[in-house]
Amino acid sequence: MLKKLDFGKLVVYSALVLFSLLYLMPIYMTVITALKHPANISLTTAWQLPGNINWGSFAEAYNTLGPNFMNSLYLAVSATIISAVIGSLNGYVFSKWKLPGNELIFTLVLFGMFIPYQIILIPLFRVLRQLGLYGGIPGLALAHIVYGIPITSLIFLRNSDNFPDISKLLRPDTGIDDRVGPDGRSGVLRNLSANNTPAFGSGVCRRCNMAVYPDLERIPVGNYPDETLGQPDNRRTRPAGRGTGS
Amino acid sequence: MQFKSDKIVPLLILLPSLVLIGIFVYGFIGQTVYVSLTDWGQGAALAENPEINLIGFKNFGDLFSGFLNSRFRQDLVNAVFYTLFLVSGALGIGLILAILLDRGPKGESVFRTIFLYPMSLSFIVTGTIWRWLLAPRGGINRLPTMIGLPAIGFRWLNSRQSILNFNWQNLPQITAIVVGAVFLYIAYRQWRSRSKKKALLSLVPTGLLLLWALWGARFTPAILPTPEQHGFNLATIGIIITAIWQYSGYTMALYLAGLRGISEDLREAARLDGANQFQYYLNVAIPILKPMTMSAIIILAHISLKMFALIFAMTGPDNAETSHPAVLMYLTTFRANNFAKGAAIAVVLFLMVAVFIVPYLVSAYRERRA
Amino acid sequence: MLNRKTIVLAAISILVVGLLGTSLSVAASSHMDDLSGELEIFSWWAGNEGPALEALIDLYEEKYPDVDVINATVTGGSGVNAKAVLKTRMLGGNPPDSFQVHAGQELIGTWVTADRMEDLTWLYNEQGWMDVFPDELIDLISTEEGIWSVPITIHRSNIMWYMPDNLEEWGVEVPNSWDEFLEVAPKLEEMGVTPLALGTNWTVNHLWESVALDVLGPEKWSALWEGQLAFDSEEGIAVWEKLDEIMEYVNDDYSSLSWQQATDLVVEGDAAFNVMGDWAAGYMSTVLELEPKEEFGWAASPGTDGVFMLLSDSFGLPKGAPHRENTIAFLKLLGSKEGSDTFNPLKGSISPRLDSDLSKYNVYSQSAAEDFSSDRLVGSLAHGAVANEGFMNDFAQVMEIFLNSRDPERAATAAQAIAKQNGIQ
Repeated sequence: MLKKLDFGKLVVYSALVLFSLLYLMPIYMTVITALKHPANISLTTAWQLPGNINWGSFAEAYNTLGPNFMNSLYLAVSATIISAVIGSLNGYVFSKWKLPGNELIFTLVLFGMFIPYQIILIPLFRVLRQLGLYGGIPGLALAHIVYGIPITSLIFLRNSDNFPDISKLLRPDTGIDDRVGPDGRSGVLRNLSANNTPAFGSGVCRRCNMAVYPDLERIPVGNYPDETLGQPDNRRTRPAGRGTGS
Repeated sequence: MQFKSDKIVPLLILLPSLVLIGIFVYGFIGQTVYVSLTDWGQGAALAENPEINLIGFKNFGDLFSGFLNSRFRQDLVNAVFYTLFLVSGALGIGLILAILLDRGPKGESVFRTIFLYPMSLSFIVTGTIWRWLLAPRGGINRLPTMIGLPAIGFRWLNSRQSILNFNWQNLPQITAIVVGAVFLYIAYRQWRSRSKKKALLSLVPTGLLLLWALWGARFTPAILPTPEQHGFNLATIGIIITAIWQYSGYTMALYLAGLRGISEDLREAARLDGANQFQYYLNVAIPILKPMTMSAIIILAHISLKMFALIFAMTGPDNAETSHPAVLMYLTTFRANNFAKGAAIAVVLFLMVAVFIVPYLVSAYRERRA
Repeated sequence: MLNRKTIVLAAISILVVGLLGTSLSVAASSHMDDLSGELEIFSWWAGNEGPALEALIDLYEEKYPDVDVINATVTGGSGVNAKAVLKTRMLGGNPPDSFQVHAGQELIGTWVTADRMEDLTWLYNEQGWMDVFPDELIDLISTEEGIWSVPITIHRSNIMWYMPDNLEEWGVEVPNSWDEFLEVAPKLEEMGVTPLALGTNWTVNHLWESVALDVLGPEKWSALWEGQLAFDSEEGIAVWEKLDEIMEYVNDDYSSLSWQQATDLVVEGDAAFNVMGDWAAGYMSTVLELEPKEEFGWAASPGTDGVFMLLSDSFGLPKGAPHRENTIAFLKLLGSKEGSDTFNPLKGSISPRLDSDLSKYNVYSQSAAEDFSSDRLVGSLAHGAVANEGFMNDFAQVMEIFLNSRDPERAATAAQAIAKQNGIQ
């Protein structure tokens, strides 16, 4: 038994190490090439470690990229924040207020996440030109914000499903249970604490950080897709109640 | 009163987004479709007020059966293979890595980071690095020489070989056979679930399609005047490897979360029933991961249709062996100034994406309704 | 004492001063040395060609110190990226002051037909360029409606490179026609030498035009582009047939080599000949540090002796250029002897002027300039002189068809089809 276990572990470890080497190989190549003197870079000696370490390329790269890097930063920060704000509002609305055709509108919005960008390329740049925004950060930011709305709405929708329905708590005539119960707390408080899942803070921010990238490829993470298919969230149990609206 | 404000306030909050999405997504799609139905291109395309005429579906007809558009047709075939191999490769490798990590080895977080970091790179960076690695005279081909074996001779991105070749003229027949087989399968399932009437009904299109494919096709005009070979270009292997390298971390993370979420009771039960590790994974864990697999397939499939940046970085605009409709659209629009044809290519690409996404959205819609 | 008289006097004096002032400042601003503002030059010159452009800009700034020159280069893809950016800018109504473009149909077919460029005939007349540029060159870069750009460089396309020492060793002479090459090639192959080195993609187009020039001759070559000879005529098919034969003697891995790597094959003795434009001379003398004429040699590509197939970088005047006066001054500098003799030696090309000072140029360029003044001039296809962008983009497709099928008739038919589609036939 013990021998079998060891052999299994050996297999696992060696497989993992092998895969790790494969995954790290490009990084190794990049790093050693960056540290080589340009004259020594050639295909035949590609795998060899650099003879003398040359930091000059980094300085050159910084000089070339420097001004553009600030652009990337402005774009990333502004587009992410604005997109997330709009998405959070939308997510909450889609989750809480049951408008007729709510799901249909949401699905139509969600569709915007999946379109290939080629289909909107030509009209986009025409419109940006007409708005006078072509060629600057505001125009790019606008494009990123608009095309980020579907995914941020989706993410905040999923998290809003676990929110208490604040509006209903605040309105006086919707049958809120404000009688004081045996444990000294009112119904309102009891419901509030049951619904405020502690994972909310970490969940949203983790997702809103990883979800919106500053380039055109939106890479979704987390297991939201299976949840929109109605599958249970395997990683944390759902809270017992959902707000006081009943 | 509150009833009304109940409806107005959410509408107001949503309105800016709805308007923006309406214009920037649906409006633009409509505009591109319109452009694809015109002849805006070439010579005076770049004038301040170009002369544009509606010509209907001619651009699309040209793309699929025009003599000069063989590159587009090969790009379509390439796109199918890219999607197929990226999805299956990323899923497969992600699953293997997740299972390995599920065993709880020491340093698991280190391994996880190593497998996940490629996802943080952008396609341009990955493409540039791997282009250097896959150069035929250096990089990966030279690795065996470090342990004394002869260098690999595969030309990677410059290879002109292709396998699984088929003639484009036979495409309608091949499609008919495939669709006929699907109907046959549906009929079989319906037979098994006792709806004999439905089964017989499904056999009708099966019969018709197979009949036409195997006998009647010779009487219909060919979609292309001359035979034209298309197949799986081996040059795309390099790009597929790069894309799998980048995205297997994503599937690994998905599957790992899924595997970790399987409750201990289930594992205990499986162990008590006498299942060894292999059987546990095969019969218990993987079926539970099915919904994740479904959503991963959707996401990966639609990413593979957006692989423009990777292909452009790795093989540049002119390598027809590894090309993709997205690259061709860029060239057609911005190099040949043929905006209408570029728009037509974009529309075809869009429809390919829609084939995956629309069923997914419809099922998500139904789930939310329920 | 503010009486009526004072007021009138004051008004008149203000008027006079105002008028004087305005006219003075108008007069001042039209004085060339007081040019101010900006000048944005859009190009894809970077890397090795950067110093030449810098030198030109320095010259301009010496003459017009108040003008702030913005060197807007977009690198990569040998101009593909720059052209894409240019198109979006022009379509967006934000043209640069002037942009680099290959003289000839690449400019005419894209921007002139779209009515985006100003006619420069008046500038040519004013500067006396009609006598200094060869007539054939001016014909290539103009249409009936005018002359559209000012050429700054001339490169030659139909050149064949070889190592004289190696040829001696192998006992081979430079072939005078492709048929002669086909006789010599088997002998070279027996000795284990690749007869012709070739690179990827566009270098095959480059080879095609040299072959076409030999098979068709300069008259019929020009006739092709004027729509008087069909691509699928007998002669047109003959070009592809000849290329098919030549491709038998080309290195197998051509699709994975850049043009520099193909040149390396010749330098290292693995191949005998390479057909490439004269930027190969710059590569061999500057990067590989070889001596022209002594260590590497050149000849007109087989069968094209006496014909100079040219390509030319040039700048034009877009309509709506933000700083028109500054741009015109720049164009004047480009066409001047001083300007072109500053730029070209650094770039490794020759001047389009017939009166350039040859002492500033290296050995190869001097020989090229001699040929330029005496040979018959025709335009290159692969580099945008004789065909518009639509055709060139589609021609890549035609070449793919040929390389995959090696069927000359099919390629010729395809070439005719795209020529029709792009308005050439």
